[in-house]
Amino acid sequence: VARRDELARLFDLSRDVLVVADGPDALDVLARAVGRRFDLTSVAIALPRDDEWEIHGAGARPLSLDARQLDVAFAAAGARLEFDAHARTYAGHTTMVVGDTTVRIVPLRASSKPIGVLAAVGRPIEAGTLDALAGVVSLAIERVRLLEERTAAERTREREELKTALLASLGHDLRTPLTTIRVAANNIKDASLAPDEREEQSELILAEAERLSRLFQDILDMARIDAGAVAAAPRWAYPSEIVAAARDQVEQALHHHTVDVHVEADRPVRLDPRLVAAALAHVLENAAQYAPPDSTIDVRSHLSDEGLVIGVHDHGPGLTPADLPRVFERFYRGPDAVRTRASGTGLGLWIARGLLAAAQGRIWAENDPNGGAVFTIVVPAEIRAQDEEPG
Amino acid sequence: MKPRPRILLVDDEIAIQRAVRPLLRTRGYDVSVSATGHDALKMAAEEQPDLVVLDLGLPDLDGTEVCRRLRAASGVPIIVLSARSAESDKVDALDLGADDYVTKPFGPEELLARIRVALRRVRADDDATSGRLEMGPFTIDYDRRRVVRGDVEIRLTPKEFELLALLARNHDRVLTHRAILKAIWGPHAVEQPEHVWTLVAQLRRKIEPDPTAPRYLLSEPWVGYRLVTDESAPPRQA
Repeated sequence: VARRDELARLFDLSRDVLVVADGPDALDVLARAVGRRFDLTSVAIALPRDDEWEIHGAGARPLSLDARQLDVAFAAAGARLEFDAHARTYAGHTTMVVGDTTVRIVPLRASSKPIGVLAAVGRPIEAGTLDALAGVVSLAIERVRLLEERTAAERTREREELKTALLASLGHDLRTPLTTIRVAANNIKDASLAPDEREEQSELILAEAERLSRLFQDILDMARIDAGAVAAAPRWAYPSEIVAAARDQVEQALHHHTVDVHVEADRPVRLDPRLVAAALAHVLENAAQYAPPDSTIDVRSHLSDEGLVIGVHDHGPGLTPADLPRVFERFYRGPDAVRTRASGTGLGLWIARGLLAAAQGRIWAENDPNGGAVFTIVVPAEIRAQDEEPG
Repeated sequence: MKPRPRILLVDDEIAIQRAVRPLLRTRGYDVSVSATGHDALKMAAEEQPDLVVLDLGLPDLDGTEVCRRLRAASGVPIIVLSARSAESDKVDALDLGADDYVTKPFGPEELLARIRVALRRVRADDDATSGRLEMGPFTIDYDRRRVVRGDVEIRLTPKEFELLALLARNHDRVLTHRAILKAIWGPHAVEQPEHVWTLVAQLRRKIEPDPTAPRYLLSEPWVGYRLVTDESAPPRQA
């Protein structure tokens, strides 16, 4: 009966370990599962890491295990692996006395190589069962390590992809203005150029230099967002000011569109107007890139319980089902944009979201059933009551 | 009066078009512009330009594909504009028949120099009827497989002569490692560039006054080699 009972406990434990997710506390969770399933007072999983012991404990009383004693037990576990037919156990079991408590030490082995030790305090458990228990724990540790490695590999891959995308995107966006500026500056020196042509070449240089400055600003913003260095500096501002500032920043890009602004309840709100305007500028620039020239871009702003709400509604083709979940991803550009070569790094909306996040704000995208894409920005803000004077 | 050569510029970047068009016009060329691959193929067929400047990043067709179709239709010299990050596209385009390349961002003089060389090459080919090529102090006699500098014959191994003859027939053009391997060793050898390196080093020892600073058989880093007939052509920017 006792044996059946231990088997049931092992069975339950093996089910527990399969659902242990990787993470910083994975092995603590594992130790707790062992303690719970075997009704032990205390359990610790001790693993050698560099010159120290990494100990994951569980139970009513935390075990303070002596590092030197652990070293000795671990060395013994590594020395031999023999099956004792009488005790039905592998070699390496030992005990350790901590205060007035006797701690049973069982080696943890992965493919016969010791990887650590399991320490148990509480009701007596048969040596063979302890071995089986240690086996389950070892497998669980290996599994967690594999999961960790996979996660780390995934992260490395993502970083690599990001780097590649960054270089490709910046490469293209730097090359064109640099080439244009070099060639156009050379053209201006050419005496045979007519005055109006000379004028055109100088405008070309200015426009391309402007493009480079925007790109430079985007790169800086990206670095600040990545570094978590965007800090909101709240002050009182009128929503109409914020919209006007955003339009100013992307005046060039909006040249071929009509922007229709409607600000409902233009009362002072307390938020970081610089961040919100910069984010809105990116949304406007995005709309100008995707909506056909000469179409209207509607900007609607109102105040809600949450704070300031700004909607940008364009009359372009709208977002495809493929775009919708991805528009705020860094470097994401719609398939249409890639085809028509709409200029842009694919950074704008990602930056908008990053800047707004620093102000505790949100942004999302949807399609208007009647056509066009709608981007909505919500930024939490204190709102001045209508009859108060702004201070 | 000689007619102005006509150049077809294929680039979808409006800014590049607006800058390069007046550059070429003021330097004595007529310019047509097209922004897509399909349009470029159509215009090349209709206008029969003397040279095509082709950006490899086009919105509708792969630049190397445009290159292949242009070459299938005519022998018009093609200069490809490429990004440094798209090294393999450039090599593919050269393998598919492009004559030369300029890397963006480029300076105006660099583009103009490549255009001059490519146009001169075509004119030289038109004149070439005999089996001999005069190249600086060298005379290459294809029929008798002999190379003479001044009055002195330079003794080349058969492979060395094959390489020199190949480069000379394509003088001033960039030949990729692949193209050279295929022509001299056959299609099975295209992944063994060390053959070319060795042979080029041997040939340089025999034809170059200073093999460590070649004047005729120039390396195009990571791409291939070029035999120059005009030593005044500017070297490529590093």
